[in-house]
Amino acid sequence: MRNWRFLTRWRRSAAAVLGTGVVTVVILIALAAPWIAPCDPLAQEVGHRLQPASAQHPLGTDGLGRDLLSRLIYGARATLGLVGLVVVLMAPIGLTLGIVAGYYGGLTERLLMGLTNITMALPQLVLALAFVGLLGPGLFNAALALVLTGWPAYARLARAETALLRRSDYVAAAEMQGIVGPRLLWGHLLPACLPAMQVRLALDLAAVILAAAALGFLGLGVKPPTPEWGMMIAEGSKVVFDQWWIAAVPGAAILIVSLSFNLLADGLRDVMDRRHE
Amino acid sequence: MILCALCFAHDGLAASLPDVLVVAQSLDDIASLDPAEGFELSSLQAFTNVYQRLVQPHPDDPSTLVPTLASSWTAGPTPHSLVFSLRADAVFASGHPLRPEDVMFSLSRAVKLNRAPVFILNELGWRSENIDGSLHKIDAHRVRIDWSSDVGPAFVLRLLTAPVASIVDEWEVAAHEANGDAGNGWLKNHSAGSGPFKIRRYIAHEALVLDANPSSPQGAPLLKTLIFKNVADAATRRLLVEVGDADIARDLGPDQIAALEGKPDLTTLRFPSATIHYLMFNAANPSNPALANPALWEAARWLIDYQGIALRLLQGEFEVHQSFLADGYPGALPDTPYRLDVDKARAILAGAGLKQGLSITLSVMNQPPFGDIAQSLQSTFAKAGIRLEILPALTSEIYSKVRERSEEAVWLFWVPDYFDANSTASAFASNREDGTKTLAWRAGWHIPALSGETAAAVADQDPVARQRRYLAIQAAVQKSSPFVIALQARSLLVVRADVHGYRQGLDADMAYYDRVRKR
Amino acid sequence: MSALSPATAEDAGDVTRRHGRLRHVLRGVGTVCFTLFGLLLITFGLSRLSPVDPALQLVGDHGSASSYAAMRRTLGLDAPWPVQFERYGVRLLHGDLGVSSSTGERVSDDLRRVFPATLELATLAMGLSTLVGLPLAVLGAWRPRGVLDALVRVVSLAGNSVPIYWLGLLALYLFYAHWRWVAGPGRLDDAFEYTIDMHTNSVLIDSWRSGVPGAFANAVSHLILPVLLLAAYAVGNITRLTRAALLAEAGKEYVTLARAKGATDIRVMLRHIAPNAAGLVVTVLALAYANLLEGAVLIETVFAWPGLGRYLTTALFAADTAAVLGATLLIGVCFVLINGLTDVVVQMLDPRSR
Repeated sequence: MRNWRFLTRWRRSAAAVLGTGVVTVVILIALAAPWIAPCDPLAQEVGHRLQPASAQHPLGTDGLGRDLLSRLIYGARATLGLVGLVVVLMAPIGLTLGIVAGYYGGLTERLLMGLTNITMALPQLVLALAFVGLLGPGLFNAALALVLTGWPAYARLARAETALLRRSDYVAAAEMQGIVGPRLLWGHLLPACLPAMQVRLALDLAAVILAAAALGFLGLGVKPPTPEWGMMIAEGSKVVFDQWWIAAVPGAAILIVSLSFNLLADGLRDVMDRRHE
Repeated sequence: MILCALCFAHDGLAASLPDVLVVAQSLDDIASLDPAEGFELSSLQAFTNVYQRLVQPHPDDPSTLVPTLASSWTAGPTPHSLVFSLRADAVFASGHPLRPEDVMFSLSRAVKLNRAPVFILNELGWRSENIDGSLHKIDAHRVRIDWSSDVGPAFVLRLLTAPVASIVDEWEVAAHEANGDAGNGWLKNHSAGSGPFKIRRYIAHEALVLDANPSSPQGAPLLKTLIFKNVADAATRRLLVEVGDADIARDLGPDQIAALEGKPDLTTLRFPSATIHYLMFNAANPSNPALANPALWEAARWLIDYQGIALRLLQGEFEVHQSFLADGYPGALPDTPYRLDVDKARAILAGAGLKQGLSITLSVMNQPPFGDIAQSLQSTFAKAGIRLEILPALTSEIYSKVRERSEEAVWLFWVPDYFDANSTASAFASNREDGTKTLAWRAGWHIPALSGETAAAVADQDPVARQRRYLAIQAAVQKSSPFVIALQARSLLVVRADVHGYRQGLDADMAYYDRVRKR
Repeated sequence: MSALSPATAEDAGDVTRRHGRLRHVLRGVGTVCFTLFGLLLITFGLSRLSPVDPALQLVGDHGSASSYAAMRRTLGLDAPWPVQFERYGVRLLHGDLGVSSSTGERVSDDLRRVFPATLELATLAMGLSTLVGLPLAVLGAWRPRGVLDALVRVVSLAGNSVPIYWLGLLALYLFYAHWRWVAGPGRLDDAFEYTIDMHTNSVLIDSWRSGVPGAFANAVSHLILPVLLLAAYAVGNITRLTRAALLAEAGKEYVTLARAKGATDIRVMLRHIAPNAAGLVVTVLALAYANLLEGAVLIETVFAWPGLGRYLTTALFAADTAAVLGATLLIGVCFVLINGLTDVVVQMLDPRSR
């Protein structure tokens, strides 16, 4: 019964529907890449480099003569993979640390929040560059670097919410019922943090893709020849004034995906808000 | 907001300053402007315009020597000494006249400071302990230099054309000495030379402003001011020169230059350069024994798309060149016997029993054009069954790895340190097995015979015979070595159409701004 | 919401007021020191673990073994890590930030040169994005899920969904190269750049004070594009998070009560919601400002702006430890200051504390 109401509300939120729709399409494209991509994304044709759109290459070719459309499609995999990795690691780590800090208080809290403060004060680029420099280029290493710079915001958020709730009737009631420890933390405190987290997460998803593009611009992106939207924009920036499509095409893709992630998060929040009343 | 912006509307101002030349390039590499210390591309180019040496290569023909601060020289009392007569009327930018003390001070401080470029002077056998004993003032206008290593005077003259042998004004530098640093702290961002320009201001990683030095022995330059602006992004440099806020843009990519071709107010200048690009296999790497196999080296020679890279991928930025002495150096080997031939490579690999699916990591610098070159290699090597994994990294990381011999294969470029074949030959074709980190040592290539020939070549005093020796050495390296030399670079600049007179030579430091004029 | 949790604020209330406040201040100072020390330690560790060899970077690939060894000694790299850190710490306590190996200057002089440049950009961008972002957020929260709200959301996101260097290059191309509406990269035209004395190194202040005709206008012209781009980037975050905060407040009981009593929407928004959400909004703004201070490196690269971001990045690539530590310390101090100020302002704004 509850799920059915959830779905109805979902359908009524235009943002949620649009957001979910686009994200789903992108995920499907990424999964079906080997079948729908017209060419091999790694096949170089140096004689036909920097070509504009044509019948053979609907979106043109890049600096090494590779088909841009195929690279765009395969690039969805790397980009979504990066985003997924970061989301799967960043928010949970941050939330966990924040909830533990907020609930247990005292020295634990001070230590964890100290660590959070230090990481927040550390310039993001320092950590990301040092990490990529240490571990070498590659998708996973870039994701790790971005995770290590992004978790503090979630920790702070979670701690603030948890600290407020710690003394609330809600938690007291649960404790009286004998629910303590991890079950309390995960079952009761975590859901309370989710609404505030969503807006942040949606913004961060777009920011992560752009951070990967920034790393690419500075020369430390994913390993070539892996197609990845951020790296493609960085490569296209070299010829952005003449062969503008090479940077514009992945740029448009990132724009669309970022917008949909945000719409999706908005929709989620709209729906879940009512649920918590 | 738009109205506001229109109020501040802009028109290219650089064009209206006829005596000022603005050069947009990257200055991030400069760590010091002390000629005894600076060894980066941008620093070396500054030294050529701010300082002078006893002898210098002719701007239009680097194999000819031009007496500069020395008006003439004769052999000294021993086969290993030279006596220089200094130019009588030479003065520094400060007004102080040139004296033998300046020459002795400059050379000895360089050796004693023991910074990056001093290995060039070390080739003469000069060390901190013996440098003072090697320089003698004969009279007010003559100075004698001695050296201990087994080389001839012609070679020594060549070495003295290197920027590290720049002559600084001793009075001026001594006045700014602090804590016994021989003026190093002050010279990092000031100048005390006799070149056509002098440093007005240097703001680290931001700009270098040079003023004309009209009393220079070289003659007054045609411009009053040179401004080198640090513009790190190539696309931004391109816009600056297009709009006219910069008169010269350096280091634009070949595609950007192709796009600017044909624009009426811009000219593209192409200069041959002595920079060569090569692939190096690390035969000393124990984890991948295939790297030491000469069959792999040979197969690799047939797996690079030389024409594709030079003519299409990086159009105009490179030419195909397959020996270690750059075209334009006396004794350079012009033969280019190799081309892309996948079948031949496969046959070689199969004949040597190197199995399919061989995997090698290729380290490259994360700047253009290395990424593109690496990806081209990856594609052609794959056709013969060799899987290249590309590892982009920072330039300094690459050099660290190469020094430690921890990489498998690496794409590098070589720039000669002074205009003589020995600079390059002693790197590629000499492994003294004594820990001296030549390129051959770093590649783990054991060549006692060839090393002997290289040593003999530098000691040979007959120029014709020397050339023959170097031709033979190059042929040996070209035939079988862990080095696959593929390309020679060209230096491409875009200048405004009203800029004339810029000259550039083969070596990295040979950038001459003294004859540049606008209109 | 600061490191000083509500729990300790409660504790402070239990003791006498003077002791409570003293403890409060000491705790604050302790936290600051702990944060800065931890920052330095971590940065030092990262710098030492970097695969870049700063001595090799300076001596170059062709240098001799003895030059290399001498350089290592000069840079202090021949001592074990704890000793190096201790030496740095001791010098730091004397106010000496060391010498940068990649510029040859004292780090404190370098920072004095590059920090005002970034501060200028960040502050102007912050002002602009607040002026634009807050009203947009209010507009969006006023009629949530309506057309206006959707428009506001898309507009505020547009600047945040494309790589800023790409936007920067395009903006330079259009507004500078093509239409010549604004001045180009750099902070001043060459005609002014080397004739104006940069005392404060803030291009606006110095060009104004120099009295050179046209200099100030030129400085503004150079600032327009980078400030606009940075502001566009920050507006997205500010608008979204503020709107979320406003909506969260709007869902609370007292708002329903006020509405039931007949208050109009605007009155409700300004009288009731805004003040309560103010604390959160200030936090959002503070975070955005801190981000702008540390993260402008891409804009600085594209616009050849000699700021802190570029300085830090160049130092990182050269493993110039003194410069990296100095710049990180500066950013850390700014961050701590901004945090502290935010806490004070939030406490002041909190209606519950009145």
